Amino acid sequence: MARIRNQRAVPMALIVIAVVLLVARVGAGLLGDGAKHDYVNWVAIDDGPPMSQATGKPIMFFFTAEWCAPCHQLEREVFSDRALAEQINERFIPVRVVDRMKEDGRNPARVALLQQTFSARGFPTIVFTDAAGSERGRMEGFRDRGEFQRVMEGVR
Amino acid sequence: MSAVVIAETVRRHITSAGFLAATAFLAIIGLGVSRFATPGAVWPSVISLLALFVGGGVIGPEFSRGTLQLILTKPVNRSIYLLSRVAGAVLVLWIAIGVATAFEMVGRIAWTSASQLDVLGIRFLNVSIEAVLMCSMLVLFASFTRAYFNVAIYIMLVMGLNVAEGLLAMIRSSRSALGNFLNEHAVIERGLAAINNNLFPEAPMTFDREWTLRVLSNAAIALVIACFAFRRREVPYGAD
Repeated sequence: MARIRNQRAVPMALIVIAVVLLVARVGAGLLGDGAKHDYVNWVAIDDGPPMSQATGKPIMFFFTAEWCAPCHQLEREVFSDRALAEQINERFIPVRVVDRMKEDGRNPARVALLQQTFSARGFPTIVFTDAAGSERGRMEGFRDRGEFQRVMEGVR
Repeated sequence: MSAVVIAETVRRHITSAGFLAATAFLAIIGLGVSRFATPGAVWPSVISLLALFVGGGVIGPEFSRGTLQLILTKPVNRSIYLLSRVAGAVLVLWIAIGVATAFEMVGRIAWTSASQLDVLGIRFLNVSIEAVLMCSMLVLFASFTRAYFNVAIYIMLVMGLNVAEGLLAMIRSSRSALGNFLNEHAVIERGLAAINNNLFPEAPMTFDREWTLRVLSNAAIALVIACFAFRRREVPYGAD
């Protein structure tokens, strides 16, 4: 009879592993949110072009959305890197353009116009332009920070 | 875990003509996409198809064939048997993923002189982890069904969730009364998206610690539930 009961026993090790993984997952989520710090000095959409004209720096438009996982990946690997963020702040006027189509059903007019002007059909899309709106560099999607660095260094 | 059951599961698959043909096909695809696609981009969808066949046949068909009650007359723990079969199926999938990745790497070295091993390696890891979740979920559904109904449930869930998300998005943007309700209660769509992301996560292109832990913990939970369901299941005599 003991053998038949043992035949149906669920291994405690599996339950322990499941609990440990669950705790690790919750912990990583909490730690991840706490550790993420955006060092880029984002500028409002309307302030981007005037500041670019005044300083002569190109604008870096970052087209993103709340639900976009690769965008969060980009934020963690690039914008939360102090050295890279300082380079961005020094060389460009960074403007974040957040798509709200999924949440609100529509975008503000300025956001929709920018998305149309720079053909930002997917997220993340990063577009480097001068104050007049001429495109100087572009990155669609996010593979790794190396790719972002290459695109950024290619902007003149 | 039972090494005998794991070894037998692996042997059964890698000596089957179907699996060998599938692996050869993956190798050809690997060489083909090495010329133009992003490294490792095709593997999540292709491996998912293979995982449906490999993971789908872990327990369900044994109920229908009547072999399972023969196995369970032996002094073998049901959960150990179930987990060993899952481990064998996952190993088989990892072999297939390894072959596919290796051939893509060879192709990239031949065409571009750059193996992009770092990108392919991450992709290999993420797809392998996703395969664990797929097998775990298929076994969970198999623990209370028979034949290949677990595959049917899995496919219906995938399609159902995606269709539901699309429909809700359409209704929300339709400006109807229901659309306004959905706009005011965005938690409904976010909840559905969260369920979809947890059950059928998309393998990222880079290493994501949170994604990895989420998938592995979901797989472990699915296996625990499968073990509890399987331990209570009565195995009838005879085949279907």
